[in-house]
Amino acid sequence: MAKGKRFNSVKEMLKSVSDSPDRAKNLEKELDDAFLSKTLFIVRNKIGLTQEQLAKKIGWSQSQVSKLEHQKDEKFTIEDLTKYCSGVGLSIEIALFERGQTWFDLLKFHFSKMTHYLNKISASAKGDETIQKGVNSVMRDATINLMKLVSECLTRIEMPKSTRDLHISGPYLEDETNMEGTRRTTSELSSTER
Amino acid sequence: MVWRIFVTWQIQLSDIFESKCKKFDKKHPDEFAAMQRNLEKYFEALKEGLKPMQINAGYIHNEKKGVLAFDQSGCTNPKPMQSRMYVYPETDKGLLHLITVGEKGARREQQRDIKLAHSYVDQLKKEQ
Repeated sequence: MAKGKRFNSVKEMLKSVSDSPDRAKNLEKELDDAFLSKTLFIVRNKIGLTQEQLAKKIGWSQSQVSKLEHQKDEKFTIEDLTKYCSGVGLSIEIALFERGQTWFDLLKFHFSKMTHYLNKISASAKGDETIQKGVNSVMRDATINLMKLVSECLTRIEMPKSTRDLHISGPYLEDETNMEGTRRTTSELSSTER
Repeated sequence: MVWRIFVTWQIQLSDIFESKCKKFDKKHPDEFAAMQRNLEKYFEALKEGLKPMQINAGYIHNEKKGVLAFDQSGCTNPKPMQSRMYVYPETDKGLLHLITVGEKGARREQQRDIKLAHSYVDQLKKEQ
């Protein structure tokens, strides 16, 4: 059997294998609606727990764990989520956003959060040389990673190709058409010119 | 320390996968959608750096020779058709091969699909 097309994501692949664009959109929406269950599934596997092991840890049955990992986002309860997260060593932070938030608003929100935590890290180092060393290392990593992230983003942005002349003015005191020997130092200026 | 390392995984279709999907989706849309959700979870876990052997869930069935079958768990249909999507994760190349989709209930069809998946993997290994 020969090989066919190649894709970077399931959504991309669905556009190709679906009978119509509408069906592809429906299937894509199904994937979007299962964001929480997907995240939990990945977290559980990352820490190396089976569904049975996690179920035992939190006093559930394996089928309850499985059910949650297949649940649509809108059907999650905070109670279930809290219980599941306690078993995989996560705590929950709920963020409330106004409807209609743009990506730019979200970026600003996360930037302010990042600043908040970096400041907290800095504050924790006061007066302790060992902690200070660790903090310096974290700050260096953060700077490098953030610069890398921004520069990667910038390479994806198409910058306008038009250029503008940059005019730099100097203290030419005589006729600009006379290009030679017209520049004088301040000491050469007469008192009235100063 | 770089914050996060993304492992590049890609999906590779077999030449029959697309047509098989179109037929299957028409016949069993709910089951097909459920298998796609399951595939998405598995694929994202690979992209997060997990190895195929580390990914564990009730919907993943080992069909030998490295072939895995994803079922329709999570299907919204109360009486779902037992279904399977056959895949093969090729770790060295970072490729998740999607081989075929079919009903599990139809015994002959399941046997034929597994055989087909095995010969696909054999062929891949020969090419290496």
